[in-house]
Amino acid sequence: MSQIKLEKIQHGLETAGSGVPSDGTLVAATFQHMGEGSVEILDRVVVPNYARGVFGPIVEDAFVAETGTRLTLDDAPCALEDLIWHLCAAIKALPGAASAFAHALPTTAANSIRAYTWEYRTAQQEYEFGYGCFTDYAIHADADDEGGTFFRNGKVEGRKSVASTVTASLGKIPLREVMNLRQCTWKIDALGTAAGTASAQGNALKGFSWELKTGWMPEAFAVGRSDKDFADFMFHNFELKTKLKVLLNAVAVTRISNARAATGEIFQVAWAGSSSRAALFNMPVINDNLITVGNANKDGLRMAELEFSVGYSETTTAQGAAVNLTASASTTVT
Amino acid sequence: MNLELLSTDKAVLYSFPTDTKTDADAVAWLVAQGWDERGAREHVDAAVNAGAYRRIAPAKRKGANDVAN
Repeated sequence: MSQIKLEKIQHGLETAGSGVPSDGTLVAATFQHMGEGSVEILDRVVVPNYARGVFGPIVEDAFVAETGTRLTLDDAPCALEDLIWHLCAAIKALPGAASAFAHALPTTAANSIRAYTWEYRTAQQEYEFGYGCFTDYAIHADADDEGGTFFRNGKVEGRKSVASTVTASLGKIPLREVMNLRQCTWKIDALGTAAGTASAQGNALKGFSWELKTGWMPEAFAVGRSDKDFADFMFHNFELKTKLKVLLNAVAVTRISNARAATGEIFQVAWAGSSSRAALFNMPVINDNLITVGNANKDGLRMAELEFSVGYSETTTAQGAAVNLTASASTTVT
Repeated sequence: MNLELLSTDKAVLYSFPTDTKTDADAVAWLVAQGWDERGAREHVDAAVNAGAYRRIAPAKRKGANDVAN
């Protein structure tokens, strides 16, 4: 069905179910989403073309086969606090109260996540849908684009959208501080060394992107859903890629050599904000893509674009990927 | 430390000559090509981590007090 541009998007954290993201009860939204988005109503109408003696399908034969909603959140500046909220429904259920949120990507067993009820307003009508979790989440920043501001975007899938009045008078998530690549450092360690051990690189990292397919997918089962939407989110397997734009210097040459020798490394991109805010992107990486060297440049400054798959390193000091967030104060996700 | 070549296929990716005998020689060669010293050291580390070379302690020089076996 067609995509609808939205005028307002809000979300509220649903109550956890036993072993599943949500108990399925819709809640009132608690905060407005900072950014734009659009909704695809995934209600699938089937129009059978039976042999009934006339050409063309008979429109009255149509029926609704399934329902659901996909909310696409457009690129918008990314605050640390946005990640604390969003990653609860993408990587790991860490609603707090806490000031440290260690979003470790799963290694041997799936994490638990939490679902949000999403409310949205179009030009004419207001709706809501429950059981909304992220299937995709991406973060990117470029030191020369908008001054290095981090941006985020994502896709949320959820149950059937129903007409409903959105919760009035909500504000944004409190204490938001937008992240910036110029405040970040990049550390590179050999396999077997914990992420962030090495000293920070000098003038090397120009651009960073982190693209996660969360692996959480809506799955339908015979569980008495009168709306014919999905039963639960189930974890398939995540897929995480990171792209780095690096000045074509000695640091880049070593990365290219390692890539060609199929040698993995441990990267950490660390953001430090004000009042102890921090975000660490820990990534055991391996370059499994063709290497493009020198195609990126800024006013003649040559750079290499390196694209890595992020996974798990089994060498002693085994480690998986993680996003470790530190808030400025004790925070509870609602 | 001395460097022992383990894999020519991997070693050729790390720019310094594959017959380099020691860490210091490898770093010196890279510095002579215009690398900064820290970058050069990390590059040699990376070559070792990649399994292109391994580091071995230099053979001990026999002193007067060593007992010949």
